[in-house]
Amino acid sequence: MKKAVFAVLIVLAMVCLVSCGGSGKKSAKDTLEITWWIPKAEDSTYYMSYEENPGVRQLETMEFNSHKVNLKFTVPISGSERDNFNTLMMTEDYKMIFDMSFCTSSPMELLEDGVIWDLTPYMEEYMPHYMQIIRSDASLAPYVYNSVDGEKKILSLYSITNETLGNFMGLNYRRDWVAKYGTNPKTGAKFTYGYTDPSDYNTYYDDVVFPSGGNDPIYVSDWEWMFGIFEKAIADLGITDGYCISLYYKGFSEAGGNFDSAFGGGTPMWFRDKSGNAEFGGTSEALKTYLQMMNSWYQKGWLDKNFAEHTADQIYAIESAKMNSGKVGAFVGRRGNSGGQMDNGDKLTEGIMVYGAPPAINDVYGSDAVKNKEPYSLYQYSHLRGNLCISKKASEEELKTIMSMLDYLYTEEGGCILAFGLTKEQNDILKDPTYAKYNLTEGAYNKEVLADGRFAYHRDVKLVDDNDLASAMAAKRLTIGYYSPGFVPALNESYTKCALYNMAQWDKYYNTGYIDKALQNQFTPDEAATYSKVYANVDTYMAQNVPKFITGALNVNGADWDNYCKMLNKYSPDKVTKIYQRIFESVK
Amino acid sequence: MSVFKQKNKENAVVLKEYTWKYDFKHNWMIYLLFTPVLVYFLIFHYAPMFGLIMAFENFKPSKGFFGSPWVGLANFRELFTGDTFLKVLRNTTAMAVLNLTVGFAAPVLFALFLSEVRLKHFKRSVQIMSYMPYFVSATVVCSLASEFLSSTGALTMVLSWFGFDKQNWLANPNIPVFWLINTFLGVWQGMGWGSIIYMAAIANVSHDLHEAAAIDGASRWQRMWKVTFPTILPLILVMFIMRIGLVFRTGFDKILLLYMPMTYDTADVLYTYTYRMAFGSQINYGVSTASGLFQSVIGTVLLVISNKISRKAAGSSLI
Repeated sequence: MKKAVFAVLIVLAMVCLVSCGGSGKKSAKDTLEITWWIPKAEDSTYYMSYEENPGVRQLETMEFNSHKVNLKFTVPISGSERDNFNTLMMTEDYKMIFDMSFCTSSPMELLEDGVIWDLTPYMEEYMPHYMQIIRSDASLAPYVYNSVDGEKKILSLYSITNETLGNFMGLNYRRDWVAKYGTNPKTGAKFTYGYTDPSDYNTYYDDVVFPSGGNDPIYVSDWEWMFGIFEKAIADLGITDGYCISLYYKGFSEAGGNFDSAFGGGTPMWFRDKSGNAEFGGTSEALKTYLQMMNSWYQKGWLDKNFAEHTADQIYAIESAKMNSGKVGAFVGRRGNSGGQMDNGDKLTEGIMVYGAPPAINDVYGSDAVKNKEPYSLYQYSHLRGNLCISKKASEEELKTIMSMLDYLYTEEGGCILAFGLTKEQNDILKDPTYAKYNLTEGAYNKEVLADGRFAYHRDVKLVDDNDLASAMAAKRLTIGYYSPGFVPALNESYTKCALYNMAQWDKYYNTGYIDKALQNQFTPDEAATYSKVYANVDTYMAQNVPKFITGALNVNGADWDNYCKMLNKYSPDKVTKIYQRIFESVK
Repeated sequence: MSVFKQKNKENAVVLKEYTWKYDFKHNWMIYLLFTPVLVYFLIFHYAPMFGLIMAFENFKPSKGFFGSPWVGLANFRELFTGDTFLKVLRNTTAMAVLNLTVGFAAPVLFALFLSEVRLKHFKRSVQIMSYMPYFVSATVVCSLASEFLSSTGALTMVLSWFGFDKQNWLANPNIPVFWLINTFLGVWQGMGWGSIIYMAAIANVSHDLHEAAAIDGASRWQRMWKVTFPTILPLILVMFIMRIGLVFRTGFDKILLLYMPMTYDTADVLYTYTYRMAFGSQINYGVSTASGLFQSVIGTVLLVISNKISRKAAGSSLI
């Protein structure tokens, strides 16, 4: 009898334990544990896990859909992001929310496989702010909607910015060389130049005028005039291994905006033309003319003779050792190269002044069809900054809470937590230990109401000076939410006057043709396979042959060009053009 | 049927059937000691082979091995029908043959010659120096190669004394420039390390044989080729057979780091080709696995053939 009672008690105890364990996701009646896969967290200098991020802690103090949330992050080791993501997928251990940066399947495939939720039916009720934002900008439509069986669906959520963040790279040139060795193209007079405050390179001034009449190089003819000056500078300084301009090893930039978009705006690969249609530029008249120009520059000795060999170099750091030692007249560089930042105090860099230039417009080569066309900016950030999906690991009720929480990040207040961090008022209540550690007792930023009713944001000077700290104090790694108007100018406070000037030059023209990689999320499985194969073949073939046209190993004016076009067309680039066109049309 | 001799109670020798149970009972400690090795091989070498199924699937991580659609030989068709496949296969074969001949012979010859050096300190210094490159990462090796072979590099300068143009040799697309660079980089890095096993074998060659040969009037050169070499020949053959099985697998990292679009025509090998095809824009696990399987099958076939030839010709084989 005793044994039977004991057994029953054990069974009851086990039932109790199991039933308690069943509510593991909700540690309290109104707190929902949300698991989230992010590809990158912050350096452990600031805190040990992303759960300690001040923005995350702030979210956990709030209520969404009558629930508090407890966020649990999974962060892979740097370098193994894709492996980690795939392992989680294959073992069905994926999280409730996952960043799509390293996902090899499109949202449509994931929906088909029953991995993610179709968010469409819940959007209006639980994500009104997100809906308002995507409705206000028609250019977002091809990206944020998926066409599933002819219906517009929302399968993933994008991080959106109201303004482009400003290019981090673009064409740079040695303004000091132009000022020192050049003469006014109209009067022949020497230019004057100097600093109002010799200790601050941001006070540089000169009276440089280009042949087109302005103070910045706008046209190809301006650049060619400048190369003549660079030749003089290189000879005068006794530089034996320098050159006027560097070039990316493929001979072109896929994202457009380098000199390759000076002939009509398109790119040598796939791009969106001014009327919104998909086009392939690999066999275009624009590319042919570009190659004629590049061949001419190569023959004149303006171009880096060994450009095709620098395959390991990023486009913004081609032969960086040579560039940084002041031996190159013009190059694609980053904000960090602006102004006098490359001054090492040696003979070739002392007094260096690097100016940014807008993408050039062709006014010299080819027919009228490829002259005086507005170019695209190089690369240029899009309005989208990554996306995430919500998996079926979340129940429908949990989905609603998650969506409500994410929607908060699309409000101005939520966006501030992502972009800047906490206000003084928020931190006074939260008493975040990391803010205390870094003496941010006044919060990460303050907000000023302008006369027109808009806001201006001012970040703490410590955060302006230290981008890593700024990132750690905000919740940037969530890569979700909305950057409202005014965010970008506040974030740009980190940059010097020269860098801001250069960024303005690089972004002079909007890159309407750049097809953001995010569009690949719209591929069907068959389209993804086609794209992969065609892209690999086209990219390889062009990378092999375009440099040959530039060096003259192949004749761009002869039968070689026709053979190149014929061979390239064999790889069926039109198949990818049609895929892009379908997507553009499906979400109009 | 296997039989063995056993003494019965009366100490008479009888023949008994040799069963695995008997062997296990009498040698259980050996089996026990072998168990971790067996488990290791099963878990880390055999179980992953199941992944080869991806070669026949349009594999998607979200669908897993069992949920991904079966595509039969489509991945192999995609691999073999590529426009540059034949060129890639030619480059792979050429570099494999060079690795198998020059690359294999170098450590053997190095060990033979070094074993004849009598100055102990010199011999040890050379040995240590020859091992060192093996511990240098492929990235550093390739950086050094890029420096030495650039248009202003040290090796380029030396070659220019012999009438060659000053040029970046790594950017030279002509046959067989890249093939030779890849081979000699492999020799430089692996010769010393590869010679260790031969040095050990040479050290074990009986002094009596050398003494007898010397008494018969054999010179050192003759003793090296007529005594030392034949003695270590079975080992050389085994090593050669093992090398054949892996012949397509060597040097991928170096080629990936050194080649460039200008030299694809002569430098692109199966691994790099597959790497671009499979990981270029969107990951294609199927094609990648199909290529790996193809190379493994070729390697295995070569291994079996060379094993048979070795058994017939030299009476010594691996399997």
